[in-house]
Parts: sequence; C-alpha cells; structure tokens
Amino acid sequence: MAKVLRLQGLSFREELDGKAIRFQDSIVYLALIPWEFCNWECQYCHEEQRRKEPGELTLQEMVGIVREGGALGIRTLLLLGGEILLRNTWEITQQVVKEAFDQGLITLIYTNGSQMTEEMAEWLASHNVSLAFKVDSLQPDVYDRLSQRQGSFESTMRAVQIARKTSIGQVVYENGREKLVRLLFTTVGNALNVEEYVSLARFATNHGARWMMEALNHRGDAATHPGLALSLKDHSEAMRLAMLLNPEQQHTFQLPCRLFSCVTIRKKGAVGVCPQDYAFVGNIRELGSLKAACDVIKARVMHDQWRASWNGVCPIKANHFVTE
Amino acid sequence: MSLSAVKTVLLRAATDAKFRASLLKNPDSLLADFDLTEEERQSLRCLSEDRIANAVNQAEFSDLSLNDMRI
Repeated sequence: MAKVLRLQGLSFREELDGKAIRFQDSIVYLALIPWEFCNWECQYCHEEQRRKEPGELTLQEMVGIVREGGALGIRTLLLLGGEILLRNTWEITQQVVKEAFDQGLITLIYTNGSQMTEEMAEWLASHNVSLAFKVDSLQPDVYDRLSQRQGSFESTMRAVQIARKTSIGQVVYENGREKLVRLLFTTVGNALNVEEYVSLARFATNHGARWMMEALNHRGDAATHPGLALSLKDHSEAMRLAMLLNPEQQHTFQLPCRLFSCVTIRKKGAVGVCPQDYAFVGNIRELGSLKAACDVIKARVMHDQWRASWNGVCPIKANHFVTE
Repeated sequence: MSLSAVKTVLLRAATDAKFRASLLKNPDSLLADFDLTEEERQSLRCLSEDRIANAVNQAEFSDLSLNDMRI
C-alpha cells in the first residue's frame, strides 16, 4: 500500500506515532516574512511588495522573535518571502535559522531555489530545515512564463537535485501508513497549470516530496493577470483527479486548517494568522512581544464566528478565488 | 498532457469491464493509445480496482474543497 507523504514542520513525528497535537488551543507555527523582495516576478505575486522598504524588521528583532517563539513552545518556523535563499541575504537567513535550530524549532523555508548552492543546502540540512520548492509547472515554457524569468524552471530543478543529495532528500521517519519527509513542492493553482495537477502530484511523489496546492491570491498581482483566473469547478475537478491518482499525496483533511494555529509576523511587524492573512490584528512592535501577538491571534481564532459557525470555507482565503 | 485523456481513461475503466481488466493487467500497452504525460501514465498504472470504483462515485472526496488543500 502506498504510504502517504507528510512534511516535517507542518506535520510532526509524534503524529505518526499516534499522538495528538493540540492545534485547537495553541500556537504551533511561527511564520516570519523577513522581506518580500525577490529575484523573480511571478505573475500572481505582489509586485508592489517586492522591494526593500524603510522600517523593516532588523536582524536583532527577527532573532528575538524566534527566540521568544522557542520559549513559548512554538514548534516550527516558516520562513517566507520574497525569496529567502538569496546570496546577498544568506548570512541573515543563517542567523535566523540558527536561532530556530538552537531553540529546537524545525524551520521550513519557501524558496524558488534559483540561488541555492550545495554549500547552502548542506548547511540547511544540518540545521533541521525542510525546504518548500515552488513547482508551478513541469513545462519549462509555462514555468518561465509564470515566473517571468527565463531559465527559472531549470534553476529550480537544479536546486531540487542539490537538496535531494543532502539529508533533506531522505525520509525522516515512517510508520506502516505514512512517511515524514523534508521536501515540499508547492503549486499555485491557476488556469495555466490546472491541466497538470495529476502530473505535478506524481512528480512530487517521484521525488519523495509532499505536494501542496496553494491558493491563487487575488490580493496580489493575479488580480491584474486575468489569464490566471481559474474557476472553482475546474480547480476542484482537477484536484479530485490528482488525489484519486496519487494516494501518496492524500491525507486526512482537518478542519479548521492547521494554519489557524499560526502567528505570522510580516516584514514591518504586522501580525496576522496565516501567511495569507492580510486582516492584521496589530503590530508586534506595538504589542511588545510575540506572546502578546499570540494572545491576540488566539482570541481571534477562537472567536465563535470562526468555530461555532464553521462552514468549511476559510475566512482568510474566501476572497482569493474567482468563482463562476 | 491532457486532463481530459485522464478522465476518459478513468471513465472507461469504470464502465467497461474489458477495458478495466486490460488497464489493471497490462496498462502500458493500453495507455500508449492516449495522449498522457509520463507522470499521468505512472499515476494511472498505480490504479487498483477499488480506486477505479471510487473514481465513479468519488464518495471519499465528496467533502474536498479548495480550502482543505493548504496542508
């Protein structure tokens, strides 16, 4: 029987041993968006955010947030950009990741991989990092068109191969039904790649990676690229087929989403629930601590409108999609 | 690459016993007639009889919505 792939950092070894994690009343994930500049210009991303701005978090602030996260018992640091693994920010990334490692957190880095070297991958592998690579298409021309960067497909595939040569490419743990892995392939579903969902899911399985479908966020530049718009019907049908034909990528669907057990700190300190939440509840600089930010998040997520009236639609992402 | 080809294979497998038996026993030659990617062929090769049945009623995916795929 095919074993289901789960990602270390979003899932945990204890879960494979049958132990429950209390997502419902604790903050499990800290998402940190240290910057949003990027060396690519993906069509669906936020063009207006892709630059360095005054007032962004300092390294000292970022390290302090991660340290406090460790003290609060947070399990995972999600590092998202912009692009995290850039040569000219590598030393900053290392210091943030090292703090997470020293605090016992797993780090999950979302990256396009374009500037990742073997040395970077080895260092990340030795600091308990899981890597999430952007795999939006298996067709180089479609991939490059989405990223608006010639050669981007090849550079990501090269990075995937580099990562797989390290311990990041190995199975962390497994039981009779599941495997815990450190590689994630993410796809932003859209009209240009919806035909590829079955292939993308299989490609991830072939590479020992968990596959994750990301929401096309119409708050970003997708709003100005109508060619990306995708109906829920087409998306859902393609997803059903992808899951049906790729049992390794299936999992128990848990509602509410795990990322309600997350606190996100954006580059200038804005606090939200998950990384796709733009209804900020405050700023960590004003709130004074990560604990204060977590308390606000918990109060918001635990609110009756999120729990008692739950209807299966994410209140954060509900407006991200074009529906028919 | 063609999602419609994948759907065609699944539908025929679910409704045509001879086709289904051929898919389960000798998928490579059967799938050669369809416009599929290598990954789609691999996925279809892994189908079991049970999963073909599920392709029809898709009962196990009836509650799958867009939001559920985040993790």
